[in-house]
Amino acid sequence: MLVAEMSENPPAHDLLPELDESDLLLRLRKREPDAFESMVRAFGGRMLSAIRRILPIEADALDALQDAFFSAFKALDRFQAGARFSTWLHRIAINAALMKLRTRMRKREASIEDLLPRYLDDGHPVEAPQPWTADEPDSPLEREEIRVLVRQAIETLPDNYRTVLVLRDIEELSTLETAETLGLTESVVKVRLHRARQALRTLLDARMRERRP
Amino acid sequence: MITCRQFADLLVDYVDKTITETQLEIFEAHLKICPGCVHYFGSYATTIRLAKQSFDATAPAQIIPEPVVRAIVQARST
Repeated sequence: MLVAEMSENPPAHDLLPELDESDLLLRLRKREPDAFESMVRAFGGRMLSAIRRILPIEADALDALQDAFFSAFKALDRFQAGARFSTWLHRIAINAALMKLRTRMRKREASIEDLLPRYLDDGHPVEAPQPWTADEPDSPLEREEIRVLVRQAIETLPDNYRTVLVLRDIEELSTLETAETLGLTESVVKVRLHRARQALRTLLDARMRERRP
Repeated sequence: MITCRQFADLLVDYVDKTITETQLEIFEAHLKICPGCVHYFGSYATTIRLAKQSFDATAPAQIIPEPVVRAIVQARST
């Protein structure tokens, strides 16, 4: 089962105040000649951003974007009035990315084990965790630097861990929704999410520790 | 008394608010005596926050190259 329902609250990605969605929807349903292109230009950027969280390889992301638009166009009659069109497209984009991920064969699957914390037989960590600063970055440049670092780190996670992290922590699906979307049990989702978070923490540790006062 | 490894295993339930009362007691008890796990807990929570913020919806959306727009529109026409 693919992503079916989103939260009733407008998601953070739903930010296109300038475009009259209802007007575009009317034009699409009338099959006006330039309506499809208008949809691609208006929503493609945000959809691609969402897809890239799941598919870091650009070629795969663009394929999924095309698939998403085609799926959306075919399913226009199923779009329900009252919902946000951009939210509906976002959901289709995520589904297209997941479908692409299932069919893509990776030549080399990185192991996550090397990124997980190691423990001695008595349960103590091999390396004592060091504190990270709780302070926010001083400048917009530093904030952007960290944002880029985090995105790159997420992209290096193995597919099956990255998708769970993206769906749970970024798309904010519940454990159950994530499990149903990915065809997993809830317990597998929880384990993968925890490992993905731990691995991401490991990848960020050196940089975040440097910022200690 | 739990080990640091067992404490780490409880983090996902604590953060996602699915931790049981019994687990919460031992989780909080361990935090009181283990500075290393206090640091790990803080950095684990910060990691989640940074992941959410890294895809800030108010940041400019990715630009689709014009050839890609044309290709998508053209493909639908064929």
